[in-house]
Amino acid sequence: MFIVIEGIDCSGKTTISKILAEQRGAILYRTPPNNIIAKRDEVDAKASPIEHYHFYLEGIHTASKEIWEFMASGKDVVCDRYWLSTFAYHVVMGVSVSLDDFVGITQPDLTVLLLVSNDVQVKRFLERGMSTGDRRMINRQLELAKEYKKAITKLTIPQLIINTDLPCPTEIVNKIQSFINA
Amino acid sequence: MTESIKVTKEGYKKIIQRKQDLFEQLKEVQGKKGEAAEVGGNVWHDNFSFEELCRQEVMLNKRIADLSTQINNIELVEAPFGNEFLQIGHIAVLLLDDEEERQYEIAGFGETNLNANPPKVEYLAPIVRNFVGKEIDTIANIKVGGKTRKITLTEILRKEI
Repeated sequence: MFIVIEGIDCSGKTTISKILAEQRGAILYRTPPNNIIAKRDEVDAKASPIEHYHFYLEGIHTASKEIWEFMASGKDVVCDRYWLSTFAYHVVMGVSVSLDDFVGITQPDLTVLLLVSNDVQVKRFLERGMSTGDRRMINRQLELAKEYKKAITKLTIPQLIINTDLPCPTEIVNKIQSFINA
Repeated sequence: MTESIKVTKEGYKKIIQRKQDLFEQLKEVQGKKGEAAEVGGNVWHDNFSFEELCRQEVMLNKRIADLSTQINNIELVEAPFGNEFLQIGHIAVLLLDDEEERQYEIAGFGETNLNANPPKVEYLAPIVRNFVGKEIDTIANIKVGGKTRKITLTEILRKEI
């Protein structure tokens, strides 16, 4: 099974992905993949929106191939951000993004979208600090949340939307597990 | 009729060990459940720790039951003879979409280890299951996650001991 955890910054993706992968004995995969991660900070800081998009799009296609091989080897995969993040972020950045750019990639069995209210997000940002990528999009978090919701509800893909303001991570993971088992 | 599950001797030992480990975990959870009930009551939704431990207990019981069924259907396999047909214990050389080569050791049930060199994948894994018992040059289109890739078995190697 291939489960993707998506969401805006500080919504709890990394924590939830880690617990879920541990519980399911799955491989925890993070995008962008290892072969391009070294360039990430530089791209986040200096690249034009279109260059930024092509960098992340290439990452998604590489991730798709690697995830396919893990699944074909009989392993479950939990992925922290996948194509929906690349899509939503770049729509908000004003890039002319097409869903066709993602045709043919390995499809998740479930996409979980984590949302968080603005005040809780700010608190979490203050606690954990910000990456270069976070800084680039810091003033556009509301637009991003809207774009994620708009994109995921428009698509007929297996999906689950959870607000992470209050529940503890274990409760969120239990919700996801219950959804999968149902 | 339930199909047999092929495992090597090493794999068999691991499965038995796994079952023992699960029994230990179950005992621990049951012990903690008693404590949680004493501290916070055993009424559903009033005591999160108790509720969580109940969930873990159900999950562990299910895993133990599944494992017991598997153990009852185990068939032990020996090291393969010859290289003509791909068997558990062989190394399969696969060509993905005519461009990328991969090597996988064919392992018994539950013996997947992707960190091994070459990675070990159980004989039922989608990437190899169409090739087990087949000769080189066998081609299969394998669909996983909605994506199909053409895989060719190009070589069958014996593991160096």
